[in-house]
Amino acid sequence: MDTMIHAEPFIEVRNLVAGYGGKIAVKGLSLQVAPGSHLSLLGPSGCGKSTVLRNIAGLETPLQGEIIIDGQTVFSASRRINLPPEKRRLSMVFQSYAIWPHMTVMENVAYGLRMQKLRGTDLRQRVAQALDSVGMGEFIDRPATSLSGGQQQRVALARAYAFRPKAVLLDEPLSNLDARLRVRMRTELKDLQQRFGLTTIYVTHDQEEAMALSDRVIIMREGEIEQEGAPLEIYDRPQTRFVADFIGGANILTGTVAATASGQPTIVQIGRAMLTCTTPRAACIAGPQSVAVRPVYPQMARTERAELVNQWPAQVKRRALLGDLVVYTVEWPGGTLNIHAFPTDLFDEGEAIWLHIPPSRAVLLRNVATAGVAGVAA
Amino acid sequence: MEQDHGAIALAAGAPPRRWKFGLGIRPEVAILCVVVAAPLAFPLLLIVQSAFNVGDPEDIPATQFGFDHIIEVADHLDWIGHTLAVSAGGTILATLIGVVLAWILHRTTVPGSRLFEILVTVPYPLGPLVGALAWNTLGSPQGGLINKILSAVTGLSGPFIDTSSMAGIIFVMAIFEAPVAVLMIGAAMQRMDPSLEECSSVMGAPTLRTALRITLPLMLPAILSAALFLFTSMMGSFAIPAILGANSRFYVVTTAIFILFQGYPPNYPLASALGILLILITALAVLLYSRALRGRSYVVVSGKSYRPRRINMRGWTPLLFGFEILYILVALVLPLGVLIIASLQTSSVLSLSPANWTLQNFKYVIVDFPTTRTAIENSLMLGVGTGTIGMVLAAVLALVVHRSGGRGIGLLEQLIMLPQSFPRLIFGFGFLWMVLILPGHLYGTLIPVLLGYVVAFMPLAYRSMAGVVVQLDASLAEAARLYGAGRIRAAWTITVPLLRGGLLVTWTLLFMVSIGEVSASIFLAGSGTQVLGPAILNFWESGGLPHVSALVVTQSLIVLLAMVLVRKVGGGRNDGETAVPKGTP
Repeated sequence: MDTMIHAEPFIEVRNLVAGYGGKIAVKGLSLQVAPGSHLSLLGPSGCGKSTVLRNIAGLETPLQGEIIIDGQTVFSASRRINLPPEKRRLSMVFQSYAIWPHMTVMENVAYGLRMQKLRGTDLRQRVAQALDSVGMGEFIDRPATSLSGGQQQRVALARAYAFRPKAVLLDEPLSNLDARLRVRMRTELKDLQQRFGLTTIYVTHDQEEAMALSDRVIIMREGEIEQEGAPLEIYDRPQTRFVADFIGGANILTGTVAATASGQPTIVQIGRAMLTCTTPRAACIAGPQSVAVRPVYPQMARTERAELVNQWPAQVKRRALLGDLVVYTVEWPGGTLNIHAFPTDLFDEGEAIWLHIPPSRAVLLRNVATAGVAGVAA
Repeated sequence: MEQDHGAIALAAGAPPRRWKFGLGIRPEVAILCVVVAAPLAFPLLLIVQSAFNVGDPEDIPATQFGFDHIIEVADHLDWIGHTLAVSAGGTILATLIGVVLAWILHRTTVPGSRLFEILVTVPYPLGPLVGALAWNTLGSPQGGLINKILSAVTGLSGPFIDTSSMAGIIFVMAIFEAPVAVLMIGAAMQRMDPSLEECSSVMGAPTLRTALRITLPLMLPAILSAALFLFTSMMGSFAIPAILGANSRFYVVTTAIFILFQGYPPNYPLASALGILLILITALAVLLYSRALRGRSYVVVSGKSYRPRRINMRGWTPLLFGFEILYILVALVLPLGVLIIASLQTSSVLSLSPANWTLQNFKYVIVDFPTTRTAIENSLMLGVGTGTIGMVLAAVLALVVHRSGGRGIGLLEQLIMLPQSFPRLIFGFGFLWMVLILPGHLYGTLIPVLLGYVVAFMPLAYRSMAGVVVQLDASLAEAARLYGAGRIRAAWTITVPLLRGGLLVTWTLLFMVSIGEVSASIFLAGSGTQVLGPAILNFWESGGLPHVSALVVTQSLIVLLAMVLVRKVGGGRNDGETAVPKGTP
């Protein structure tokens, strides 16, 4: 699996250190965004993801590092370059939308275009075009304060795209919308992005948004990159317990490595069970380890299938019907396991079953205590 | 997969060390710190020097130093005692009035709360002269209107009330400072989560018990901070003790300092020593005040504005309504009424028959008499000037403090609030000395008065502006920057229009306090630069009641007009909130 970006990056951040008031929010972070691609910075609040975005935008000044946009260095601590935000030609959509309440919809969208010396009918045409693209064409002469949250969001998007920026930065743009509207806006955002083909950096704490919209996702934690990759790669191959928990949730099984040899699958002893796992790294240190198993992957059956590895007799302890899916708590030789299944074939509480965990779905995690060592070693 | 680890290696490998020391105070913050601190530090230095001056008492700056005058302060403990007693008594009374009124207005179903909410704030911006002169006319032991009427009605010889006594001074101070307490405590009451009380009620506690056991303790931090604010303000109060205590020779520190200045020869060193003592006591109270505020933010301020549940007081309603009426009567209707009637008289003997009334006194003070005419003109100019300069400076300071992070911001904010610890009278003569020493021959022009006002009122203006700036979403201006506007342009097209309401309120607030200013002006404004406050004081000693009343009524009309204008233009809703110091630092 090769995750290297082959094309010349459109936005590049090198070794960014940022924060203020003696507090460091971002601790030496580097990232690259390919032209026209969508990168999500995903993490819990306070992980520094918004700080990265605001530093790229020029709203905050980094303490260290370099930021290069479209071949132009907009910030460099060592070369003492710091372009003000208005010279970077980026547009940003804020969590609060930042729709100017003392202006009409037209004036809001036209603001950036006026700065580009657009006037008269050209200006109005561009504004109308942008508003049409978000379905807000008829609102052009409304005062901004008369708009609902979702409408403000659309105007904010129109303003961002009408500006024809080098790249679009989005800072949790959907988090103030209600759940239903959020899903709809997500689709519209994806459409807009495909239509305009602009390089995008998207900050969110919502894993669904990141998964649905992005070409690549960076999971951040405490000012550092925890993991980077394509959405599915992160889902299927979480490297740390943090990523496994944060994306999708997982059963974290702890045990000791029983056997490891190059070319052979790693076997971890979990309770009384010997679990054959997949490991993203070439070699693995013996000793206590954690294994992540996504609740959607274990299979339940009423009969044993001889050909399978990772198969144990087990018992259903609890069953909760959530509508779209059924959540089982299953007791197996390794302890207890949460399983999400479809309500097509229901198992009863107390029923004896056969549990199968596909080895490719049991992912050996990077031990947190040795993460630094492993990182440096790589 | 290896590339992923590359990024991690960078992060975990060798974090740059330099950032730990790389972040100093930003230049604009440093400059503002100096701009804010210098006009306080220099006068303070001169006052301290003078307090230790044992040479020629009129030497500014002093050259010979000793402790004589510091020790001399001990001979005048009565003045200090009076000051503390009056401030403490006034604070307790004003806070009580504030708690009761705020509770009636915000938490009960007693009718008329919308109207009373506006009315109770009015006495404060009218200024202390209205209260002092009016209650001197109403309640002086000899010839006070109330005493005369009561004697005539009851046949007993008075005096029934005596506003020249300590109790009288406490009473007048309290009713004119109480609006601040109403606003500060009222603001906290509106921010209280009603479910805290509902919970108590659900558990079966009767209304009064809920009020005493839940509401009052929750309000305690707000009440305490209001009380400390009032205390510092009353410690520096000058006009009320000067007028009411004149005949009874009841001196507090501020009036004593004034007498020491006016004596022949003037005793600057003792005045300075007393001033420093007053500053120290006030600074201590301000320190406690900021502590109280810090504590409060945990208890009450939830950031949310609730619609508090109003309690039906049933049989108590008429009594509480009566209390509101009584307050408005003694703090607004009676004082303004008696001054208006006095201003219409042809002689100092009050006649209640409209047939004898005249507008001649107004013509005299506004048009004919050059001193008062100049004073009105000067005060109007100063009001406009202070409002404009103070508003711009306060807006810049509020934006810098709340929009730029980094070191020195906390220091800057404390420096901005520092004038609060200077009783204005003491600041006034310190500032005057500074002006006399500095080159430029500014004394005798309005410029030192203007600058003095701006400095003295900056805490007020800053608090008013900060209250609005905090509410303004920072991303509105940030968005403008991203869409191509420079710093100035973004401020001009986005920030300023959005802050318009707050700017207007701050301007009006500064205008009103400038028109009503007395304590600093008696030193800052000299001959030829007369302003309203000192002019009224001088006029009171020499000009006769009808004339001085006409001047005070004129001053009140200017202030009231400004209040009405800001309500009309500013959309009315938020000015009550910000027009008088709020509890937010």
